[in-house]
Amino acid sequence: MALRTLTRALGSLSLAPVAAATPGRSLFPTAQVTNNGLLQRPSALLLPCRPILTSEALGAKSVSWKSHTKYTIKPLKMRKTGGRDHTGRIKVHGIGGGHKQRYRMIDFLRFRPEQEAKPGPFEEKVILVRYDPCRSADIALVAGGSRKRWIIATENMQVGDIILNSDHIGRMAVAPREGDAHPLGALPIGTLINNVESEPGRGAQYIRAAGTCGVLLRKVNGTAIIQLPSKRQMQDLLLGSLVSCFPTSFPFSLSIRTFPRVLPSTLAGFSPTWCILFHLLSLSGAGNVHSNSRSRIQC
Amino acid sequence: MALASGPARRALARPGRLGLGSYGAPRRGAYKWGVRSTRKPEPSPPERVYEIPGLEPITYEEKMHFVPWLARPIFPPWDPGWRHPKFRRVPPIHEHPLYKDQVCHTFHQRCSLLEGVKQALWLTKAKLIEGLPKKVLSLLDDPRNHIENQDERVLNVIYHARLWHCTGDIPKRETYCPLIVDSLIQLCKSQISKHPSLARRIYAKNYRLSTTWNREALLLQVHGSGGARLNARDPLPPIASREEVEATQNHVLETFYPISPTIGLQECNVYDEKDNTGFQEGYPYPCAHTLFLLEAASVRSYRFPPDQLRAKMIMFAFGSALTQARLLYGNDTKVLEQPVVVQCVGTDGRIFQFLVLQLNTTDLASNEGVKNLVWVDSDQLLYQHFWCLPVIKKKVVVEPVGPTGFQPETFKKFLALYLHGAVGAKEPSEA
Repeated sequence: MALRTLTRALGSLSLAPVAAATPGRSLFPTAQVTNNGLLQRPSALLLPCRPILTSEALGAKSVSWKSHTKYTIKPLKMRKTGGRDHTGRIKVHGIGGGHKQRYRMIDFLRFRPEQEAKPGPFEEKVILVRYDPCRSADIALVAGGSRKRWIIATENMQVGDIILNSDHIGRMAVAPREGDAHPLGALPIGTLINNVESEPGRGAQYIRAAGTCGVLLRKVNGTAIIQLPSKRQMQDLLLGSLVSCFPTSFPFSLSIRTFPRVLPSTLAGFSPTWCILFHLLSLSGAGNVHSNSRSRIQC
Repeated sequence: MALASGPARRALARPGRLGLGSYGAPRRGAYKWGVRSTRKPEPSPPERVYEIPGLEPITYEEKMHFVPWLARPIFPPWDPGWRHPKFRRVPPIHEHPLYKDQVCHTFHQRCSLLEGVKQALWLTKAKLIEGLPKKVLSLLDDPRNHIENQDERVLNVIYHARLWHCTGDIPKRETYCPLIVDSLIQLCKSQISKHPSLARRIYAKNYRLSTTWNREALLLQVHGSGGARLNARDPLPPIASREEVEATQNHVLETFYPISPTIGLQECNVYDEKDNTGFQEGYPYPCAHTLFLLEAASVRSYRFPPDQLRAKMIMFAFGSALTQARLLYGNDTKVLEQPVVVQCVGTDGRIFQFLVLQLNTTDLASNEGVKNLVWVDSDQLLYQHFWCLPVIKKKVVVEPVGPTGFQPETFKKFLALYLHGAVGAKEPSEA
């Protein structure tokens, strides 16, 4: 196609001298030849011609490596993009190389009962806690019923722990245990939480990095206000996703060495009255919701 | 209101969504795996006209071309009348003749049970006893049962399997593991001159096994192939006495909440409930004597850890014992008068696991009653390590070529298991 436009453009050029030139486009402003009827054929030498394409980007056949549609705990091979987009050109500079990684499918929706026929809180056992190359936090293999899945591990998660995933909100707040997942409405104020979802059933999208935790500030009118690691506050449905809990009374020290574990956070679930998600501006200024909190903890 | 923006503003503007009785669906669901091109598109629903009963929809079928204002006709599936061998259409799973609604949890040779031996014991309703039974251990100590130059010959077997038989420097586990087992069995067969009843056995490879049983409303199946099996004409005598068998009634099977006992098993809807011993009727060696399970994969992640290997041994030994019991005593669930005994040896070429299983009952549906017995001797090293090339540091041979940490006890146990059932005067079992 580039070739066709090129030949078409070249075909419009000719070596023969032109009989008449248009008044507006004449290269010799003193010549006042008017000839409106004739076709104007510009000379090959200096007259402007149609822009010619001399190069064209090939449509890149970059197919995403994400072809698995069913959940599996087996690590999957992934292809790195190197900052290139679907056309094959660099979109973001500075990305590329690095150690080969295999992707482990993480289930961010903690309260996902194995069979839809049996809704209700259920327990799972931690089988393995290991390093994940795709994220800063460690991951834990948990098994419940007849299925195994990967979740983000909390700081003190050990092999053999039993963790509870619940969507029940009682009148009294639950005594939070590390690694448990509860709706926000079931948690007491002041709990440290992570893996928060903005609406029930969405899956955890906030506070997932290593060493991060949010604080449940207050519960207002069927919503809960959470302070994110960037000190930005988020008003969330009380029906949130599960979050693993980490009680505030538990003293923990963050050192650079103990980074890879995510602090446990609690997901709060909530009554279904209304859902409004909007972000209040933090006192210090607008902050990015997804900021990596490493820099904060190090200083 | 001024603070609300984006989704919040839309939510406030639309009061209909606010008053929800139940949780309500999230605006955007949880992450779905796979990109759009790999997700199967949902089949388009048929035209609304077909939903009205008793109405004959007017379609463009007779016109033989598309007409936008007539309904889309639904054609019956076309059968071309012949099958091209290259383009075979796999019929949906519901049309398979062996399809059943009840799910069957199948254990095959690649199933790795998460809880290992505990899970296998629950599935087979068995009680674990550490160490081999006294009857077998007595065969071990008897000097009449030893082979001449036993240690030297076993070392030769190890050298041959791990070093001599291959042309390269270091043979792979896929070659040396089956070779070690075959050579050790050949060594045991040299005792035929002393015990003629050893000749009433045959060594079979790549057998198939299939058996089904119910366990507390679960349908379980062992369906496997591969490995080797030593068959005999005469069954093994029972090991535990009647009193010990009755004493197992008080034993409570260990559960592992919150993990269900079917974790790691494959769920199938297409299965056959028939028992299959792997051999046809009229086979001259009907009784299973010992099973040999090999973990011969070179890559460590493809091999089973010792606990999972022992679980696999329990399941396959149980499967063999159950098919044999059903063949002898019928399909009724009952406590067996004559318990069926099957042995099993599992190895990865270096570490051996020994197992003896006694099937006391085929009544497996309930958790009460008599349990089966399993004796396990785990993690018996034949040798600690084998140096194929000598370790030389500063021109001094630090480690010579050969095995380090050789333990002759392991082969003695192997021999004892082999001779069990064939040695003439059996020691009286100690209560």
